[in-house]
Amino acid sequence: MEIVLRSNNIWKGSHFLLFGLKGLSIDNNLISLEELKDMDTSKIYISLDKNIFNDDLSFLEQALLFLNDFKVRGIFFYDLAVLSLSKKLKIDIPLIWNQNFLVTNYRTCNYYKKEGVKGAVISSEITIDEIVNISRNIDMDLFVNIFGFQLMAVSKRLLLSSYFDYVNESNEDIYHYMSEKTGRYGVIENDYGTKFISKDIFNGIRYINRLKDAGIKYIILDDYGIDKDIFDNVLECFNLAINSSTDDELLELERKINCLVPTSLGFFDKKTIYKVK
Amino acid sequence: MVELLSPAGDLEKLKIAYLYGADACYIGGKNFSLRANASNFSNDEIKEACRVAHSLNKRLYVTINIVFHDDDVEGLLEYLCFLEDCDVDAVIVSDPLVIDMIQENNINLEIHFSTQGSTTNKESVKYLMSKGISRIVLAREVSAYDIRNIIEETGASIEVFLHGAMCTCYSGRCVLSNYFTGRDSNRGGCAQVCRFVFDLDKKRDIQYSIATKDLNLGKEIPKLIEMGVSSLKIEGRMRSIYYIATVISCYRNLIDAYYNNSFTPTLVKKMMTILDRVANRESSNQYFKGNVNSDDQYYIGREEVSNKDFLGIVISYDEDNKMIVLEQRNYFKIGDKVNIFTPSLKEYNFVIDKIYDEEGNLLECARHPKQIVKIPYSEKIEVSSMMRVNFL
Repeated sequence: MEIVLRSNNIWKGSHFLLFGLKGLSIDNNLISLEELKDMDTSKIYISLDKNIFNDDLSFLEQALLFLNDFKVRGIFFYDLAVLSLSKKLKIDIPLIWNQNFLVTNYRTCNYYKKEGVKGAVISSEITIDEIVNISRNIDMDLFVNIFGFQLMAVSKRLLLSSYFDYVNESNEDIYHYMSEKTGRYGVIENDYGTKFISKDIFNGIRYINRLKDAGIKYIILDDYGIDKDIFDNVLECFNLAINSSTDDELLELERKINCLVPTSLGFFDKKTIYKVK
Repeated sequence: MVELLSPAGDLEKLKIAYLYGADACYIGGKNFSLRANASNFSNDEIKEACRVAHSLNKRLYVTINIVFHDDDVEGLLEYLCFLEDCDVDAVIVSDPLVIDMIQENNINLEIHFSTQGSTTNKESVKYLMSKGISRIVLAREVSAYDIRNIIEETGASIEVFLHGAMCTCYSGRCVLSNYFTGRDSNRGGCAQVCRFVFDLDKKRDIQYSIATKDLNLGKEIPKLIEMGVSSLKIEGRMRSIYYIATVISCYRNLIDAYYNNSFTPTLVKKMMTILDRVANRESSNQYFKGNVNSDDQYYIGREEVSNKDFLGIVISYDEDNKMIVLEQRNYFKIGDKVNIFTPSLKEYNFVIDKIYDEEGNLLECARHPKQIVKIPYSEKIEVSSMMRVNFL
């Protein structure tokens, strides 16, 4: 099992790194094509997870050719335009299907495998049992978000700017909190719109062995919104966890992390419902 | 001719939508559909809906637009075969596993790709066409400029949302409901968290809202037709028959007016007044103009009021006594100014002179929901016409 870090603070080490590409990603940790030139790209995944509009297509084409030349380890994609253009341009970089909330069953993973996609990032809103079931029924690299605040929604609307415009207040911050009775959730605005972030830090360390047993190859840790010192300790815990920890040891590591920062099990142990009548 | 596509939450609404001028309706079955909490159609009702649609030379589409979890797939193949047997005109899907299942099993069903897939560019449209998708429902975030460009560059059959509620976020790219309420938005459980109000940073007096106004592209009908859009879609499978009748008749009027060279500012103004009145929220043309701003959003002080304009539905006409037989829906009384609009787009304006109950007793008012009352009127009125407050 390998760790993939979604971080702007940790640029070295034995882990894989995941960056959003400036101009084509809604990620918090962005990198430009220029910056990529000086890096060991064999360890770098690039996320192209913006909803692509016609105006983006020419830069997308340029970026795909660049990433191909610089041989990044893989491309995480949201919009089908990335898949389509990659085929047309005969891009030789593994594509990773990362449609956030849509990666919820093995049959659709298999559909994308037939389309030439090499991996998929499992949705964070399904249970550990469902993840295991998906993994056992497919033959592609699976990535599981294992630690960090989770993305809840993406809007094209500038929902902070328009609010501050409405209340006639100036605003320089891109990060705010919206609260209601269930808690306090992050709101982040950038040029492409607004993202909503979970109230809790998700931490699935106790399930590492189940994921390993199910054949999951990659886990993703995201440090956004977490103090660097705390995240360094968390990363150390996960390094221990992926190297032959017993289930009891995993629970101990979970306790250790929770002493640093409160975390939750997210949807790993909680099924969502959809019929309320 | 552009298609006017209506939602239908049940058989009654379906019949009303067709009667009032919809060319096609989209419905959901008891499973696999994103409005899990609408009444939806049983298999027998889907058969009947097909029969009704095709007897009127109309089309019927069935939504299979959830994002599947593995446990949800059970029964899907049988359901697809059933829909093929019913001869539905298309299925609207968002999860590619449905496309795969249809094609691998040689099921003869036309496939439309749902707006849940957030298709926003011509490259994605080309990809979907290459996979055998015959129509793509574009994301509501696509501008007029891009809609035109996509159609010109791809020649695809494109469906565009014309009217109704908007999601704040990209369709399919929002699980606020999952995190706030445990209800899965991509499997039909959306709790509409984007309609909640919040505190921003716990230090502002004015509450934070991310709610949007509704979409209304009535004024843009000529542009939409001229850019080659194949289908214009109304949102709202959970809306009432009055809403369906009103909205469909307004858009039928506008579309027909375009083709008859009678799309005048006066007509548009009248239809906009009716559409604004039937909605419980304000509207704008949203992303059609390009980008949205604070004018397309709702903040505090918004009024989402239920509409009391719908007074009753005509269930028959008593030709012997020259009386409209009406099933009451909201309170009205003698002296009220009313308007009746009909499936054939006729309108009648008059003042209620007398109201009788079924036994012929004279009433001062009609106060009971579903009460059958009779109103004298000299001209024969079509069955299924609707009587509303005359606000024009």
